[in-house]
Amino acid sequence: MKFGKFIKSILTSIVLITILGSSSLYAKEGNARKGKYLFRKYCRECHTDGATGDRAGKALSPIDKTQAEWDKIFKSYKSLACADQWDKRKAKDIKDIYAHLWGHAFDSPSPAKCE
Amino acid sequence: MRKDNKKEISRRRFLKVSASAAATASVAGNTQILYALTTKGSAKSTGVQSNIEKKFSLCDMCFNKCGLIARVEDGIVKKLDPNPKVLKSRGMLCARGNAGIQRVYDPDRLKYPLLRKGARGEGKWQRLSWDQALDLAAEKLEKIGGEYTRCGTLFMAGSDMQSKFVHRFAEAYGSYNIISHESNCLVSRNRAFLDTYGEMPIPDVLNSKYIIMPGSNRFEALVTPDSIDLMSAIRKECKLVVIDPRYTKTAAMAHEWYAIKPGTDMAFLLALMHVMIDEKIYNTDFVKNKTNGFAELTQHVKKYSPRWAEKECQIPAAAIARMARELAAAAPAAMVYPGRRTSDYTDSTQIRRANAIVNALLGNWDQPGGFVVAQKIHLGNIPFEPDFYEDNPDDRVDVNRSPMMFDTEGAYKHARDAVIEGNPYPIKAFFTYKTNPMQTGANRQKTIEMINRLDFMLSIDIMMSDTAWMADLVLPAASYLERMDPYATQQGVSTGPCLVTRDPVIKPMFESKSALWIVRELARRLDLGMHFDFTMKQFKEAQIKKHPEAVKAIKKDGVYHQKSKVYGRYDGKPFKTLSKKVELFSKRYADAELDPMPVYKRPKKIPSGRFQLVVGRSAAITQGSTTNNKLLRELVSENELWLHPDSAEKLGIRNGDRVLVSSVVGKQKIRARLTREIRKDTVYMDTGFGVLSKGLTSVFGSGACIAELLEDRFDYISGNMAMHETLVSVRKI
Repeated sequence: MKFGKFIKSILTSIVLITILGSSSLYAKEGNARKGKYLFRKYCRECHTDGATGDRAGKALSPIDKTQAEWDKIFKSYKSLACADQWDKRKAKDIKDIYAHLWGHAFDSPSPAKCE
Repeated sequence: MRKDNKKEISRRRFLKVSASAAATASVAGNTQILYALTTKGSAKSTGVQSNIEKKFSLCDMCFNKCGLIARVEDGIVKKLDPNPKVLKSRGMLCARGNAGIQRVYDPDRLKYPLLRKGARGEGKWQRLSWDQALDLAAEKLEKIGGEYTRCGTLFMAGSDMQSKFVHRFAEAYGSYNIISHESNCLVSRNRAFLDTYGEMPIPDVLNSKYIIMPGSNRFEALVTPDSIDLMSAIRKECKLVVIDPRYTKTAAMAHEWYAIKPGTDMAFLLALMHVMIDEKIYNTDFVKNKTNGFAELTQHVKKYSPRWAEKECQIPAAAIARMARELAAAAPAAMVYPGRRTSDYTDSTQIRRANAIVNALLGNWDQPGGFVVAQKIHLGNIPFEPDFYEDNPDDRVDVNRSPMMFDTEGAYKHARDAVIEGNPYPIKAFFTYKTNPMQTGANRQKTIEMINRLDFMLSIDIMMSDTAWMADLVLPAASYLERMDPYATQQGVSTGPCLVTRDPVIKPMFESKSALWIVRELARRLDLGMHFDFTMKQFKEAQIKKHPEAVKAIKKDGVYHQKSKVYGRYDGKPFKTLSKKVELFSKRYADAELDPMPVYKRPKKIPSGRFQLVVGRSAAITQGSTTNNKLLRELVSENELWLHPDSAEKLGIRNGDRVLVSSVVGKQKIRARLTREIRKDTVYMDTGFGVLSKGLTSVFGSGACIAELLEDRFDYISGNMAMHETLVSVRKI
């Protein structure tokens, strides 16, 4: 990993770990509207029905997890098989995606509708 | 009984009226169909064998989507019958469903794109070709998007199987200002049950032994299968108690009816809780293991005794206590029915929280005769990845006006206010599909004010509804019998979930097009075509990929039923709430500085000489979408003001007199119907009349518009319109 990328990855992790201590605040800071678009753009390619290839994952929608489960995933994303993809994203983008997923989770006040 | 109801319609007459209406439609635009429908032109009279087909479809005369079989002769729909295989609709097709034939062949159908030429609402139109109309719409959307951001366009689509494509278009275009009809209907109920149970259950009416129905009128405001199941249930051993200021047809069929004082349902529900807890007749196991906040609730309801409630809601204390005991004795096969439309009071979410909590004390969750968990049959999709527009505002236009508004539904009341105020940002275009807020949104003058603030309004509809009448560009939609629709899941409650769809029964008439076709063409013109790079057939193939057995079943029977467990689905599973239990006490509400348990607030006293206006349903009317239907007009041709004779006498009003009804927001003239089937302090009228659109030639000039009279108050938690908060005065004209 190049030094620049390494630093970026570290910074992303720090930002996530720091702010995820207070989840709802973090959700408020992120732009959930933009997060919906970014989630589709960056995550859906693999996390969708019928996805193919090495990285094909389980279809995902905000309502597939509780808010606590999304918290856990975002705190420990480094252990995911697609962690390298997360590291490619700007910290702000991840924050926006989190705001979308957390804000429309299974047990949220406004669960996402199935698409 | 009203005069119109005495008219009996024979099947022959029904078909005759239908055929004559269809003939008129043909005169207006399609001579081929006219020829096919006339006696002379029919194959029978010429001795040629008719080509008769029976085709499956789904009704579209209200939201229920009951299964039907269309009899088609030589390309003309001659009769609609229920599909007995569709268990959700229990083999039933109601009067509106039968009259669907008239919707298709109504001479008032929109036939080609129309561009407004005069002032808004003046009714001057210029016919356009589809290319001209779509080019114009795309140009306007592009321009407004550039000047006011993509969120400067508000989208509103009704309950329709193709609304998902309008939503997809809105997202591809870049606007997240998408609202549904539901905030004029039921979001406060969904809010309350979601915040109590983590999801909205469906009532297992068929197997219930005791049902209290506060404010619901299931024998007129039809919901399938509930309406049919309720009749079956009460024919067996189910006791039905109706709580309603009106003596509805449901009240007429009930074992007991209490004419509750409007706005006091919560007092009644809190008193039921009081008795159950005080007498320890609640479901102790369920409460102990599955609920959160029982200790707080016990303290909370101590003051809400039946004696206290009687003073508030005018239901005798002894009756309340008895009902609580009878409910508890019948539990878990017992319920306080959750209802459907809950756009009534400014605390409608808290009223339904009280409803949800009484049910929790009964422990009827996931039980026969109680609440059943809705099941989805997972369908595939064609995903899309639209671009985000960086200049868009941070949030929806209707945000921060109610603390718990559903993001996915929005709130019509709040969006309309935001457009009028231009706050938090300007909205300059309005895109509607098969929805009619001019008739369904309280305070019609405010809807007109909103529309007058727009630079561009586009309406896609089958008829020239009042909303389309106000638009700049009107695009003719194909009716439900003319188009192919996606697959959808339906809930049969005790019969489990099923999959249904629509395939065209006949070819689209005139120049009408499906919503998918329209948004695809618009998308292509806006360089967004990549998000609609599929046909309906391809979309359906993607949906049904994992269910090949369903394709065969639907072809054979018009429906696919999935065998699955109906009860006990929550065994060992947590509830989808923050506490993972049923939330009698809501921490989320407490954190949001809302009452964590329902607190009764006494409604304002109704001053002498004034009346509380309540909203309801006739079984022959689906608001403004059916009142122009000539077949249904034989059942209800205009609405009337229900007024108690004692109240009328004081005002010098006699049965049938024309009266002026006035509220702080509007006035309407209507005929009075004196009846003891309503409280002395309450008045009622059907929805869907008093239209402004001269394009609705049958209903134009009939009755009064309730939306013109209703104040646009709202449920402070969910943003649901609150339509029972209006006081009116009545005087003879």
